[in-house]
Amino acid sequence: MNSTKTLAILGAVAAAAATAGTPAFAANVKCYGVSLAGENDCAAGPGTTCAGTSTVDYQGNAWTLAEKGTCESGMPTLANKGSVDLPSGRRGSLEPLNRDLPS
Amino acid sequence: MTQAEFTAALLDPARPAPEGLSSPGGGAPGKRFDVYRNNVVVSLMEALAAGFPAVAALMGGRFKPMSAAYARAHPPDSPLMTRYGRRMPEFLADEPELSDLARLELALRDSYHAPDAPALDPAGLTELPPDELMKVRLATAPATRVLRSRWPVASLWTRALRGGSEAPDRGEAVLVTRPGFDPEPHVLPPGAATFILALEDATLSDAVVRAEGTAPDFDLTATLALMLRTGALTDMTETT
Amino acid sequence: MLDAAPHSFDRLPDAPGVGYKARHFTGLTEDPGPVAWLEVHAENYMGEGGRPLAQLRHLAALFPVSAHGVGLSIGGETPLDREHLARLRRLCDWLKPASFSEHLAWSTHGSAFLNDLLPLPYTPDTLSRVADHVSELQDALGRRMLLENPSTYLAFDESTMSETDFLFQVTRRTGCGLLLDVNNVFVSATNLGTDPRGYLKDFPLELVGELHLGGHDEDEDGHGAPLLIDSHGREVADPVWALYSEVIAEAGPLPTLIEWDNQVPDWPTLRSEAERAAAALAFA
Repeated sequence: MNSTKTLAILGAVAAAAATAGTPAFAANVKCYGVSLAGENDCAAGPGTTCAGTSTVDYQGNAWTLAEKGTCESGMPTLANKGSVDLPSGRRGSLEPLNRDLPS
Repeated sequence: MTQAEFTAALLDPARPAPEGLSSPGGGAPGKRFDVYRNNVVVSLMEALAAGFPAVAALMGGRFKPMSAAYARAHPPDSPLMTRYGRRMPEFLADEPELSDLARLELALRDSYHAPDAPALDPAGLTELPPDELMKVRLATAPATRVLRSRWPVASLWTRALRGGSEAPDRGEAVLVTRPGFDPEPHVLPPGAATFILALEDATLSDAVVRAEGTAPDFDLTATLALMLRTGALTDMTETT
Repeated sequence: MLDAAPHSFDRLPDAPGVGYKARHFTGLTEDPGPVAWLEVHAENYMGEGGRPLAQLRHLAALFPVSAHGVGLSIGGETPLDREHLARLRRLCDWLKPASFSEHLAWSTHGSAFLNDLLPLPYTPDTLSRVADHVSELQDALGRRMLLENPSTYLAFDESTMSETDFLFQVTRRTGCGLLLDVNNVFVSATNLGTDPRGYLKDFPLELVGELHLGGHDEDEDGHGAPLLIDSHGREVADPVWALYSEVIAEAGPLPTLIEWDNQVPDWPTLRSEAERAAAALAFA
């Protein structure tokens, strides 16, 4: 590796270290907690329960299906399969055009 | 009646309740068996909603039927519900943006439960003599993940869960880091994903060379600053 | 995994405890009220690090902890999951919980974990199987466990034993203790059209190491009969409090858990349920 390159890396490391400062997130008891709504814990994923649920979901169980004998309606199908409504309201197309993976 | 029969009926609402079950009055179990059906599928749907909040937000009303279909097709293969939903990206393969968003949400969840590791003190790096710095090997923290997508996944995630501006119309490479206990996705500049992945098996200077090979404008300062600031680096080893 | 938790609570106190939820961390540490111990679901603490284990390590230094398994499928037809037994062992070695408990139920078939506590018929065959599984678990953990009575929604025609007799026989064969869920007694008795007081009269109270209380929801089956759902999504119902008072009047004070798993309330609401249990325990 030539010296110009070495100098460039040295400079970048020094600049990055200066920006980053000392690591400040030695996790302490203050960050053990999560807020009431759990909005800062949305990566936690599902936990367990040893309870049943009284939420009756038409698709999930079919209490309604079973009682009304309409089981022939069968499995749900995905509406709009193959496209997705993006927040902006535009449609995402199935085929990425000129979409390379970022480097 | 076997548990195989019980299980098959739980997962298929079109089947009758298994033989050999009864209500107190001796009547058909009917809705009483449906309580179990409901518990199984609804609890799995709720688990998926908890595991993929951004996908759920973007799909809106389509998420529930999709999650019910997923629960029946892929019930958990382990009692660790924290891991449930690994096959969601392939299940959503026909909708590549959602599929990649599911990959990001799995990466965030993996990061959340990953081992703890102290962050690298930047002073250690700056104190190295130049020739040793070039050959140093940097270890990423166990809670670190890199993900590349043809879609603006990190922007979609942020917008879905926190609101904000419209997602750009381009792909994003994402670094997931966990400073403390809460994983965060960061959009990476050009070449940075290559650099971070190269750290797996290359020295610092070799990783820079690889990154510049894919992106001539690779910004080492910005990339290292982000990694140091967010605890993505945990250790350094001097090589000879 | 983090360093072992620095504590030495070897039993649960005869006082109220709560089923731990992450959102209650701050309330619990700052204003526990009469809450003297915690129960955690073992399966939620089998990751490698991060907030769950850090919280648990911190809490285990403050409170005795009961580890409550919800996924071993002790009532399953198939052999116990060896990998899962090893995970439970690892957790118990790390946490050193004051108590370990699991359910008289099954939840895994083949490779599918169904995420619910499913019922089994009570016969000599299922008794042998459950007793074998309890012994295997106790051997794996190197400790005595408590086995919990389930909530049920229907009956099996092939059952030849009562649930109380079945549980008693399991304790005879394995030496395990029992966890008596008073809400489950009420839910099952209502759903099966039997008398909860008769059930409690037959229950071997001297083997009970812990009580559970939780909320249920009311519904009806397709024929107009009452159907209670063990939802753990609200306050404990008055008839369940009444049964609880009768149980502790008979058995004396026991560690009593408030379970609230769905529509989890704010801390003061959960704490007030624990206060109600504390008031009842004071009279026992």
